Amino acid sequence: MLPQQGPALETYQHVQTILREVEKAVLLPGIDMLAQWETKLGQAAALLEGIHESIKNGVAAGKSGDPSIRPALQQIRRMGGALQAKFEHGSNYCMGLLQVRLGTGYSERGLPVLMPTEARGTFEG
Amino acid sequence: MGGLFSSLNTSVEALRSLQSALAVTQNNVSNANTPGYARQIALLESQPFNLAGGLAGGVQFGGTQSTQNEYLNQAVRTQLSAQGYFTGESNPLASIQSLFDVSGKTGLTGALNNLFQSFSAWSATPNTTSAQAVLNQAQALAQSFQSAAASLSQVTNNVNQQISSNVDQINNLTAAIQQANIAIGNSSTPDAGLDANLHASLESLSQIADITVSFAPNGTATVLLGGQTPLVIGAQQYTIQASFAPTGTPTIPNATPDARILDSNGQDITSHISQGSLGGLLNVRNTVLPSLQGDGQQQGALNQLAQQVADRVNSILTSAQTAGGAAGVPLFTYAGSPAAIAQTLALDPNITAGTLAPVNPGPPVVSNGAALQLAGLGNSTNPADLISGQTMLQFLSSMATQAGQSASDAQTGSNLHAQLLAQSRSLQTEVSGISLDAEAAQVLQLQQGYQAASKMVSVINSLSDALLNMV
Repeated sequence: MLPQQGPALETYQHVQTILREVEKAVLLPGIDMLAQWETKLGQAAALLEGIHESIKNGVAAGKSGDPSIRPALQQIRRMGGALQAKFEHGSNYCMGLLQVRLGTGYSERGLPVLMPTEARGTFEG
Repeated sequence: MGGLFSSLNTSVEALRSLQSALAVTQNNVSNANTPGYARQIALLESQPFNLAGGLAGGVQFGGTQSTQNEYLNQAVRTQLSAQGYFTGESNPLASIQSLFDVSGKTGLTGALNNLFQSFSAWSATPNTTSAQAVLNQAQALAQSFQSAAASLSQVTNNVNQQISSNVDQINNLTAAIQQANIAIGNSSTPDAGLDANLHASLESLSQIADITVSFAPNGTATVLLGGQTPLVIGAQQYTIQASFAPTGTPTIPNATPDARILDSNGQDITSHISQGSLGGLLNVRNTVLPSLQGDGQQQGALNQLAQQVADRVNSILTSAQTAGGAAGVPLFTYAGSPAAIAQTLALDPNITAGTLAPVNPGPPVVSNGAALQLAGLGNSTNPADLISGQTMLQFLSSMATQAGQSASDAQTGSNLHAQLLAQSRSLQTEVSGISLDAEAAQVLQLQQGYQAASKMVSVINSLSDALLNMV
């Protein structure tokens, strides 16, 4: 048994909990939620990075990884994949909304070019 | 089993919630200029989280919440009604005001002054030429009275048309509110578009009349006119109608009857309408105009003045004699009811320059005594010459002043309530209106937030991939 297995499993479960919280938070698409997403995802990334360093050092010292933690890692990967799809969807949706309502065309990089700011009563037509 | 299906359901629900929430923002931007539209807020409801029990948490789109604020909406409607009242009064009062020239040189005032001046000239030089001038000025005065009466009659007709038009508008708007109520009642979820239509109709209605609005829990509106007469209750509309037909037996026959507003049962509800353009028009029609031209209960100031001038001039002339000793004949004649004297005032067909009698037979005989008395008639304080305690010229001046003051008050009231309305609207917009810049900025900020979060998750995914390769 590898010395890091016990703490690593707990850490993975902690990462899963964080990702679950982000999953819930992302369903509330408000400006005030942006900081929450960032903080929690930063925590999750830092935890995984710590394990990554730890395992990398262990491998370097001739120890092999513990396959029993694989299911927990796969779960994290699935959750990460689903979260990324949601964030991409949100980003694209907002982009589309801005383009349809406020855009005048696309830039060379494919980004919407918005109207110059000026006082106007409506964005229709 | 909790895992896969719960997770999939949560993901699908998440995307729906996100889409619904942003659709609300999109709807707000699209309806920035829709009358009556209030900003909508997306409601997201937390779902229970218990993995062991198969509850995967997440949130569900819980519909939208309207930012309609009925307190502020009522404040706007109150100001619209108040402004509508003065706007309704303004045009007809301006028409009435133009009938009286405060300078005293033209119109009725000018004609009366000219007649008294011609009497004065005749008293100084009582000959055929000055007598003919008196007849000419008397003719001009009679025409001025007829013209003023005809103008008031024309104003009355115009006001009648506007009252009928206002009543038609009320019925059209209450029909629209009824339809909105039916649609809202049939809608399973709040509909911002229907809500906007309903509130736009209520605002238009409040410009015409003072209405009281209450809302049922399902969002349908009950509208009462003047707080008493039902116009709309749920899916039921109650129409009103205007009537200009006489009622009962008037004290003064053949006078113009008051305008009345009748409810759907034919009951007179005129007194319930005290605000809005209809309230202003009714005040002009049933108070201001009758005070001048009369109605079934009063003679009207114009007829009072015409009668007093005619009667007093005729009385003095018929008591006088011509230079040749012949008995005097009346100068004026009129016919019809007491409320129609101004419109029928004319020169007596028997009067000529030769029959105009300047001599007061006395004793003692004064050769221009009657002419002198007529010259001073306008300012005479003799009780027999007064009208409601005022001399003839004072009485006419009061009429002109009153007309001018009423028109000025209406304009001042309209301006004041336009400012109060702007304040109420500003508050309403602050709470329920849509700031396009704010909405756009919110969407842009959200987009950047999603993008940043997506990059962070991609780091987590890379680390997970690396770890999976290592174990």
